[in-house]
Amino acid sequence: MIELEDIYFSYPAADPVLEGINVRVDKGEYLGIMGGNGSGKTTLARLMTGLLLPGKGTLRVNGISTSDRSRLLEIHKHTGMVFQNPDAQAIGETVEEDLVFGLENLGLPVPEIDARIEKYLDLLGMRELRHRNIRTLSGGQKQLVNLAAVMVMEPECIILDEPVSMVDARCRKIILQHIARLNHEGTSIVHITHDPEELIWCHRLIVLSRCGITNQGTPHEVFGQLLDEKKMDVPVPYAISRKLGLPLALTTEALLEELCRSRSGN
Amino acid sequence: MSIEIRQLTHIYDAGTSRETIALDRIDLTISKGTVFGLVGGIGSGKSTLASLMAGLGTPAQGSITIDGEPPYPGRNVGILFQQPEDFFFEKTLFEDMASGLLHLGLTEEEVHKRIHSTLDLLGLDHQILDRSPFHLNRGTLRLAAFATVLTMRPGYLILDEPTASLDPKSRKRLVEVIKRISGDIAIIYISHRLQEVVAISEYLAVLEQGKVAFTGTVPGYLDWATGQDAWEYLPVLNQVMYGLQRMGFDVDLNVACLEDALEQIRLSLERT
Repeated sequence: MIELEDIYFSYPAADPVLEGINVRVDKGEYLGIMGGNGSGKTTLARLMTGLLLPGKGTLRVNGISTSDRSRLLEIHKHTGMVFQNPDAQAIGETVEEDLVFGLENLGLPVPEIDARIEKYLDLLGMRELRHRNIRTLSGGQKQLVNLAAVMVMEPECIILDEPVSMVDARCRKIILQHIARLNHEGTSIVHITHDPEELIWCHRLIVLSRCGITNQGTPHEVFGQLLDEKKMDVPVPYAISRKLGLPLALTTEALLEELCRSRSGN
Repeated sequence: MSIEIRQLTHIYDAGTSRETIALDRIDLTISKGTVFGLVGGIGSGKSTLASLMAGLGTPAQGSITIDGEPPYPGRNVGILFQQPEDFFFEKTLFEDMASGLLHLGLTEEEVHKRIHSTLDLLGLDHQILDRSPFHLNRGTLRLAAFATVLTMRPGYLILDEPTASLDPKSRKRLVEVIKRISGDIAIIYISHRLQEVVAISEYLAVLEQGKVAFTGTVPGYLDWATGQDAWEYLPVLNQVMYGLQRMGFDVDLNVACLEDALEQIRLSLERT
């Protein structure tokens, strides 16, 4: 789906952000990306959608090079991106107008547009926001709108840059379950975050630093490495289960089950 | 010495088909010298309350006073917005940090002194002052935005999701600074990171659909959340302890850190 080969990138008058990065996102894969501030995560996301061009190396989306600017529209039909800053991507005055904008540009008939908007407003639990002025929404509500605006387009791949950093725990859980369901139905996902609890559903996880990719593997493998290296946070249930020598658990529910089993074993 | 909020109501797009009651008869008192956590679901009114406390809007009904005076941004109250990076506009960070202070009528010498002492407080490298804010990474820029607000020396400081999009290292640094300065001023700490809010705050309020659902101390908050079986209001660590209590494990709900939780779970497993 997305292939990055030996990618280098620098902003003007600044040190290199990415040096010799190789990443591949397969069709239907859910890739998580973690890393400190300034490690190049957002730059990587912008490169993947063709918003930035690499200084060196090749980057292809569905076989199309992002350097081929004549085919940028094709790339954007395949991929959608949810930006880190919730104010960075709203176009419409109201939530409905914002969701309609992209669908109209796809040239979809009105009944199809209506059906998709109904579907995603329901799925993300934001029906009551439909006619709200985006200006009056909170940061978390704007993040929901941005997610919905990308999801209604039903792209083959969704790139999420800190998509739920301002969303409360209950709402975050619903959104993450929905992202996992979309992936299960075939959408490729690239999910960038500082919060390891958000990445428990991903297939593969990479950790980025100024030195390049430092860790790579399944969430279980990478969280284990990070816990040993004491480098970054890992999900609390994972840390507890591993330190107690229990089967590894990524959710509170799974951990409680393991502890219950452990007690019965005693 | 406190912020007094009385019967505060705020409505967006009043009188139109989009009318939304954002805050509904809020009563709160926030005393100086404390960290006051403000939590709630998305759209519960936290950011609206923050901007009204910062004097950035006029409530439809009710009142807010700070030490008996109306809120006056930059004078008796400061706010760090959700995306403070958006508010940088000068060529260098120094020019950005100095602009508000010069507007207050401070001398250049005093401006220099305040900026450098605040950078020291936050452990920031003074060389960043000569750099463009647009070339700083997000973590450094967020700390620089925090420093900019601190140079104004507000007696009451509102932090709206200050650690969103920050890595654990930058988060830890910011939280340490907040703890260090909180004895002298009041900090209103708004965040979805419940673990952080519970760890840093002495008092907490929960907003639900524009109303105060709870206000009190942190232990009182944990009791309130478990009393309602409201798992979503518990930090993950406390969720685990609450779940264990419900399964009959002899553990405390109020644990300070992962090590405390592990110790209690081990002991409880040994006893069974």
